Amino acid sequence: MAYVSVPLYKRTIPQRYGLVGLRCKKCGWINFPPKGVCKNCKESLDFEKVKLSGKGTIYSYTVISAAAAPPEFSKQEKYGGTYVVALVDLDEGPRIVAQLTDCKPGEVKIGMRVKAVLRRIYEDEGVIRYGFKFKPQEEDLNG
Amino acid sequence: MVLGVVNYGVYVPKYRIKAEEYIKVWGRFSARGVKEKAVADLDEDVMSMGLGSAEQAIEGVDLRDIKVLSFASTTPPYTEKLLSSFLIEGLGLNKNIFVSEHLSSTRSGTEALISCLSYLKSMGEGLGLVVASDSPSTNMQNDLEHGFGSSATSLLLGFQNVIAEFEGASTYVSEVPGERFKPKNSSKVEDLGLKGYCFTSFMENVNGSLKVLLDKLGRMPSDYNHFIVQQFNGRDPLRAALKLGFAKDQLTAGLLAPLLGDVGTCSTLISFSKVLEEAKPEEKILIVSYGSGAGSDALSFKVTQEPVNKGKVSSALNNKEYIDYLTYLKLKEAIV
Amino acid sequence: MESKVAVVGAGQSKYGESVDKSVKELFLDAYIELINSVDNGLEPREINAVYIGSLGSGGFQLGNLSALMAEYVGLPGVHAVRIENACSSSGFAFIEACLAIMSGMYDVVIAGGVEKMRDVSSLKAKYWLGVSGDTEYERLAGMTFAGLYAIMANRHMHDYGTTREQLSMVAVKNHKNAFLNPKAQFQNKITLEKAMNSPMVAYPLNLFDCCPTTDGASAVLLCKAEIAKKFTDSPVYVAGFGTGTDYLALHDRETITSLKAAVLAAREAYKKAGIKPKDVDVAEVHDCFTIAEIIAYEDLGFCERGEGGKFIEEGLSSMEGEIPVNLSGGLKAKGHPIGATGTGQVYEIFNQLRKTVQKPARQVKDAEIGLTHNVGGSGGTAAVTVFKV
Repeated sequence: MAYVSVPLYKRTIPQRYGLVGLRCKKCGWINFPPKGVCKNCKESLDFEKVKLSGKGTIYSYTVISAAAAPPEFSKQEKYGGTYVVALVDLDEGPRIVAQLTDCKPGEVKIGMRVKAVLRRIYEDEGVIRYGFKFKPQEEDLNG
Repeated sequence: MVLGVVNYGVYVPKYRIKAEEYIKVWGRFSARGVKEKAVADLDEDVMSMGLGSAEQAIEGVDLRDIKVLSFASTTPPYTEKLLSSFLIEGLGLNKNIFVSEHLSSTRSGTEALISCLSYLKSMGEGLGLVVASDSPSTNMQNDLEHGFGSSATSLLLGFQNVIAEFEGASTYVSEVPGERFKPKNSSKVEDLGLKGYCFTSFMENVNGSLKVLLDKLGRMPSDYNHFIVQQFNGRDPLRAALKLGFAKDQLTAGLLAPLLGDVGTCSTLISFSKVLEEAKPEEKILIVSYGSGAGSDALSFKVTQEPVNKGKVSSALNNKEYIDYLTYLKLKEAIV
Repeated sequence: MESKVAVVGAGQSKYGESVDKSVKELFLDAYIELINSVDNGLEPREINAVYIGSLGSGGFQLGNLSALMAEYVGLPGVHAVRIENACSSSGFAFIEACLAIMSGMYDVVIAGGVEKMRDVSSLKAKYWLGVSGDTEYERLAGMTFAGLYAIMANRHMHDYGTTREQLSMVAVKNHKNAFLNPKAQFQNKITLEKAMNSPMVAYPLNLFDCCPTTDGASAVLLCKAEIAKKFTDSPVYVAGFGTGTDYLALHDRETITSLKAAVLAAREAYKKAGIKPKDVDVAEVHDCFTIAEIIAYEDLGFCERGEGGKFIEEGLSSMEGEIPVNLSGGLKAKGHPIGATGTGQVYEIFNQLRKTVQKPARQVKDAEIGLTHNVGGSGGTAAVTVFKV
């Protein structure tokens, strides 16, 4: 099943909690999430860790409707209703997928500025999964 | 070398529910003096809120200088499992630092603060981070529930760029069963409705810690510009303050329960952050916490300079969106 | 390229919810039709190998599925392999079967696919439908399959001005085609208004933009081109094929308004077949969502990049259009039994090119070149095959 096991989740905690990417020492490309071999030069396995700012711009998004969520998100969808999932272009280059929070689906627009916040994603087998979501940057909400 | 508060941070979830919403549904609202309270969203809990406040407190410092982390909450997401680990990873702190976790009562916030101060004092250098985050809960039918709010605050402690100098602390502890408590295997706060019994205990413990500290420092209540006392609601703090020999205006700056509700172990420290944001150099701040069962810590600080980055507390207090009671029930996952 | 492989038989079960039949029985339905479709007859013992595409049939038989299918239809002992590439499993099973014949190893091979989606509870189905995207990031963001295509659609609309109406036009066309397909899951025509106003699933995609969950099986018979005439006077030849892969996660891709795996697959297939996109007379494309068909027009070169919306709006992919697309009803209306979809597409093209579709009203006129376009997951894999008579 498409199931994120606890060990699989744990291995990615530096990315999920701290937005830690890998900068290729050969070509400088920031790989986030990490790849085995640099995504850009496709040669180097030599990386250094780099903490991303979490600031970015919405490239595209969708609004997952009630009753359409994966089962581990059914509680969120039941109590919270629809939720937004976006592709965000981080200022440092990588594009990443995450939920939006602290905003209403109707307010979301392609090109909107957002920043990462660490939130609770879901709980499964009694274990909470935390991870980054994005919320609108204040300047964007204020126009 | 002066040990004290270097910076602070707060996290208040954006949702608020007004007392009137309770009155519409239940015909009454039991949390006296609380006008509205802060409500965590479904994806916010004490860990994420604590992290949000800590990010503000540590802004601009070299994270390698942080040598100790103390975390406080009465509503941890797990009853067994380290919690500070989440903050270490989320903030990117050194994994070799000392951590302490304070989880047993609403006194835990000041307990964490004293623990962190003591550790730094013994080291004589470095920075310490205190994170207090709470979101007390119980059954919707329980009167206690009316007052329960959610918030987090963090204090960065150290020896350089101090904005409030630590002057001293004292503690008083006495055995008082049957106040506010959580039975084994329950996540719901209960009490026995013994109001007079609880207030008596509150006064005994708070008085006990205050008296020792004031005697030690040779101070009188009137020597303080700000008095911060544990806030279970918006009215009792004033009643207690007056009984303890303080005046209403000493309480004003730090009185947050009317806006946030009872934020548990975060109460005294978020009020402290609020006061730090407004206080002027040379002003003196007295904090007294209370935890059921029972115990109290008193701490004294003297403001040395205004904080560099002001406005964090006011913007957190002003960023709000009102919800109705039905939405509140959903956010509390109370409809099952 | 000189054709080395021919298709000489094809069968497909009814697509839909098969309450009374398991995957084995659905495969048997496809197999029996396949045997009966071989004009000059086929002795089962002539079959050398069976390649079965399946995602996992809801977990019913994750191991040795191909041997199970083979033995159930009386072919124990043959070379049998299960191929898994998500929704493109049997598109790839078909190509593996071609390669087996082209290598000289086998002469007569079955490629097929099976899936049983509707035996599993709606909760488990949601688990299964999420297995082919990027698990670590997309799934942990609460993403769904509809959500992935929705996020492509949103950007496609933003970049090219593709409209909500154009998305619904794909659904209306494919339902109209399926109305004439007795094996389709949905045999009802829908109005544009109905399609536009159905409940939102993942903005901007609504219920009528999404294919259903489907039970079904399909199977086709391939043989070495030199012996094709032994089985039938009208074989359909494999003119060329190509495959492509891409990053599983949308956030890793160069673009989300095109499926690079499909572009690579199409380029290779056209090159091998020695044809241009406009030479295609009839196509079955992977319209798991309406936006997927619009992107397919562009990826396959039926129109310019960004012109997919106009292509449907101008009726160019309709029965009467320039390149009729998804005359079977497509995944949208014929149904999408994941592992069976690829060879199900071949079944349709086989019959279209041989002029043997069940209802003459669905028969395309004068088609000589057909194409199948089968995509796995949200575009992590793709297989394109060109057929000619």
